[in-house]
Amino acid sequence: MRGSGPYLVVLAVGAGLFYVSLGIASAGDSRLGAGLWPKTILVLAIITCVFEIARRTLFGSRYRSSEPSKDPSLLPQGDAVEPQSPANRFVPWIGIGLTTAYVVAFPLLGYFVATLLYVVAFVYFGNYRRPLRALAVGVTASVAFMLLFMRAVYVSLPIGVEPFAHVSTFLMRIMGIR
Amino acid sequence: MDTLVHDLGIGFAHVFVAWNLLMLTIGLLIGMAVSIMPGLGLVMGIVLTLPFTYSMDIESAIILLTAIYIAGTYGGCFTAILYKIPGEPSDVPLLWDGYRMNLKGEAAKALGWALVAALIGGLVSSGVMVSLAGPFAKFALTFDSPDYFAIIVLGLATVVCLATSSLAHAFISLFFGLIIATIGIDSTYGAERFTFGQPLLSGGINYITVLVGAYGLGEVFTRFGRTLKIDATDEKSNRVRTRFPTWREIWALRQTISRSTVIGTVLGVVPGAGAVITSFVSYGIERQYCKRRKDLGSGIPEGIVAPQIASTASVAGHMVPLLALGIPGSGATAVILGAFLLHGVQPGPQIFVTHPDTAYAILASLFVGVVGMCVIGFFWIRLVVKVLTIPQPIIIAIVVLFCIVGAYAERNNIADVGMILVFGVVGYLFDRYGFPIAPMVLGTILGPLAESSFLRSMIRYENDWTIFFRRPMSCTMLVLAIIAFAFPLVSRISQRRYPTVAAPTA
Repeated sequence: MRGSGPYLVVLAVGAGLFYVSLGIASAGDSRLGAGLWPKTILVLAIITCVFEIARRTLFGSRYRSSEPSKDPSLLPQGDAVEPQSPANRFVPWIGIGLTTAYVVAFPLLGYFVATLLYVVAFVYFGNYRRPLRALAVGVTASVAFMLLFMRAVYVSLPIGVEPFAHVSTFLMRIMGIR
Repeated sequence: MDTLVHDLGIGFAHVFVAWNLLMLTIGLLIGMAVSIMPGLGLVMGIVLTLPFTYSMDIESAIILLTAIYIAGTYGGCFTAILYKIPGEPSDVPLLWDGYRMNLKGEAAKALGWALVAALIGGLVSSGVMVSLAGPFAKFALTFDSPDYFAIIVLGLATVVCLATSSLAHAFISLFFGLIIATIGIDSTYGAERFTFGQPLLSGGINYITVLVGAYGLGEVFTRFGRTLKIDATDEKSNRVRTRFPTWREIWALRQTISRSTVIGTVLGVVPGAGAVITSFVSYGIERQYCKRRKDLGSGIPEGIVAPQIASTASVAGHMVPLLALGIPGSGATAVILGAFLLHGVQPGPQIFVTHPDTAYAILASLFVGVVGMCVIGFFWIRLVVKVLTIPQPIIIAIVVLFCIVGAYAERNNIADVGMILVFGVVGYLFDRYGFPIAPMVLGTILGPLAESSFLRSMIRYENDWTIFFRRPMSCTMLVLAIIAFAFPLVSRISQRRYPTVAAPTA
């Protein structure tokens, strides 16, 4: 069963969606109907999951030995493709959390304030532990993007609710954005 | 032939309009910049530039995006050869011989070989594909819906069979993409599918959302918190200039050049086989057939020429099916298709009739782009390489801003931003658990085309599914698809029975 977790999740979701697909309105005559295509895909997905789970359960050890991998002969020794510092597996979730908070704050704080806070936090927690430089990057990026998108591409970015709207409108006045 | 030259001449005239030329140059610079930075990549470069094309006319928009695509296959060779950093996965084979040549004090020559390879691969492939585009489009006009369905099935089969992880992972990724594409109101019967009563889902999920989320944010989340150790401060490498090989040296490599150009062009046409696959396959072929195959990996020009030619040649190979059939074979061409649709133009056989100027301007831009890329590569690359000194956390923060503001800009709707965040998390989880992203993305793009072709076939031929095997074109494509599906299984079985001996490493 080792490594079957993702397949069990896909199997459960696939089964749930198949149940939902039974309720898709059918054409009611000899036509195939709108449900045929998704049902076919879901059945194929379920079959793949069942097959893979069964294979991992029944032939676990043999399966692992034949697990496909990148051809080692293609990678000459000593050529580290992308030397990176090891990352904690939970660290990306900080990035996801920060980005989620940014998306929520985007319409409330307005583009400038939300982006400034987000960039500073994202850069800092992204392993760039220089708070002043991170702040400088945040200010520069927020202003540059505001100018680029609001003045050059004419995108109406959110100004936020009071009192943050004051900050946005003040900056827009300075930048000559109407 | 006269018509082709005439149409292409008009295309060149359009490309040399000042604004289009400016867009082409900007595109080449962006393509080079994103391709030298690990983690950004040419697809992300095209995705991030897409919002800026909303207000452009279609020619300028597509020329800009195509230029990024072309330059994206070349820029990474500099960092691969000089600093052992492959900007794009397709540049990995360049490490083996390119970086070895650098270590032997032949960095200038290695850069010269890469430039010549990109120039030859790009120009020859563009020439071949452009001359075939018109006849290809005329032939495509004879296709019926079963043929389209079979071609799409072949495309999806190739994507799955070329996936580097397990076959089951690739299938799950593909099915996930196909299911995403069914969300919303069905275009044939008008029934709601998987909307769960949410108005946001009624309109379906735009594949650009999936692309930006999975490729853009997903990659950002994967890289968050990691520090890429890039050392681009080596003064000796920074001072290297490109030195061209002599004609005699180029002639001596004619077999490698011919093989790699053919591989790049032909594989480029196959959906799913992008620059990465062509580059690796071409290197692999050289390992089998090159005269100096035993020296490959020790720093010989063949090891640079083969992957570089093939990856640049694949661009024209991908662009022509997009224009002539309206079927994108890669993430990059999928975004370019998105740009076409945003401007109200549907690529396909009719484009050469309805928008011939636009079609030929794009084809002409392939030639100008290849030459411009090499000129920029020769003179300005050291400036472009400076972007490597920007810390990674800052780069990925800027990528997030482009993704989020780009998603918001399309409809000024915060829900779209939420959607790309969801697909960003999906992309991260896929990467974490070893599921390839490409089948999901191509499933999302090709799913609606596959379904509509299938249902049209069924309606037209009264639910007779044998029609797919009775038409020569569709039957051939489906047989090839079956071979493509069977190929990984057969090769794994044969590998288990007859394990290959690892090639000598450098």
